[in-house]
Amino acid sequence: MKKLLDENNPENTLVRVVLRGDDNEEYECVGVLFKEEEDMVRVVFNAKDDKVVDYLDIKRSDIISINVLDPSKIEEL
Amino acid sequence: MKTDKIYNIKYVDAYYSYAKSIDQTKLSVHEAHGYIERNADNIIIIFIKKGGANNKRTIDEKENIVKGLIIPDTALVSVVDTYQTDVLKNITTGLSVVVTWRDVVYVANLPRYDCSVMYTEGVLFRIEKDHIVLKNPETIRTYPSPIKNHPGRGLPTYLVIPISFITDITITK
Repeated sequence: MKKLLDENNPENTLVRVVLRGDDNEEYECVGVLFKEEEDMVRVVFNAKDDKVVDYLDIKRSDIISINVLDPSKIEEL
Repeated sequence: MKTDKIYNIKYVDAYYSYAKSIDQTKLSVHEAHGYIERNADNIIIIFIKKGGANNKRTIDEKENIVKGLIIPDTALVSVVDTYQTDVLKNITTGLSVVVTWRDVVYVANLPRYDCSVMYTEGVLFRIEKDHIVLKNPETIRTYPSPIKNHPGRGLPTYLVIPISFITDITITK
């Protein structure tokens, strides 16, 4: 699978991932693509003072689709 | 079907300290991404949902939130910065007080859509622009039931509460 994370880009890479859970159900999540390895990706959901709090490590074999989100389409609250 | 919007959200949270003494205090900025839904004065941030699930339908049909957070709408940084209240009127440091406040909730596979309510007894140690500090706090979660001690373990020495989380303060002595 092509790498999505550009480590030279200081901006966050936001992704939407559709994945297969351990229960064989389909799930989706959104977050910051934090790490990409040969067999897994880490998606970060929240941070405190820029330190990661909650994240999900997803095996590549469980990923159904992964899409980079356009930051301009993300609303802010 | 309405598609759930994805948001970037910045908010504050209360926190305990276990230090013997406490210096400067401040509210940390938390940042999250997720599918957002408002439920009365609560903001639900969904990190993981079932494929194709719709936030509103999840709440209406009382289905589990797979993984997410629920924050008071007054936790938003944009609200905290301009929040006005008279809840601290006639309240000064050194007093023993009881504080009722709304807390951020972490949710995993639960049908929860609103914040917890906390009840804390302690000595008002500090009042800052956007938070207060209680010394020797004793906290119970009064909502949802069952009522239970908070945090679950250890005895914190201080508790920092955003003023925008506070719904009531009563002087006890």
